[in-house]
Amino acid sequence: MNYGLGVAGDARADVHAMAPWLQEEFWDELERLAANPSLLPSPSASGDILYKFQRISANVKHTITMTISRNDGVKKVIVLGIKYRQHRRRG
Amino acid sequence: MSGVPLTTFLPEFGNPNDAAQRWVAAALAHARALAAYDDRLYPRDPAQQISAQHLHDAWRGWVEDAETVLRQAEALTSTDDEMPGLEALQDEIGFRQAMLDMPPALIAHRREQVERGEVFSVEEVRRELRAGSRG
Repeated sequence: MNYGLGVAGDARADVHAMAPWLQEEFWDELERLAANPSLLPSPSASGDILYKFQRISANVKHTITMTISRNDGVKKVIVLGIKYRQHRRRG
Repeated sequence: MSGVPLTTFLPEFGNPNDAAQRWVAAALAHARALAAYDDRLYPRDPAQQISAQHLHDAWRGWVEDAETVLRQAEALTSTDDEMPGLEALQDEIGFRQAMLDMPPALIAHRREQVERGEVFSVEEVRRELRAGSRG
């Protein structure tokens, strides 16, 4: 079952900070998670969850980390934060 | 914690390649031990915020040590797959550095935004991005 998706107000600035191609990768990943929420860690009783994914472009590895609020009651995933780092691969 | 930096002995004893490999493995084991508390990094209960910040502080210390191990290991190798665990260590450092850019107080603030209804749909954010790139 598909979950609804949302982005917290200030988390929009995090998306703006990413390169356009990485934004597209982010939306694709988010839609993949909404279509299959079991890919996310189980919601914790105490807090929100971390989720990471990686993309490689021009021999540079991009690690994208999201903080996500997952609410199984209302079937919704809300992104609270998105940050990323990149690392040039050797060899 | 011993208070002795993880990398104090790295350049000083034995075969540097073997030593670096052991420190890479040790850094990854340390990360796994800390990661057991990932569900406490962003607590919804405000009373747990201080503990969450301590956990972030522990990760910041880990990143500092792990980056030193990584630099030493990279200096001894020419490709990332030359040393077991090296690429995993790079990945974990990148993941945790990005995580540290989202301290508990920041996420708590954004959670409050969500509770006030300040949530945007994917379509709204994409529209905003397109308008921004045109403007």
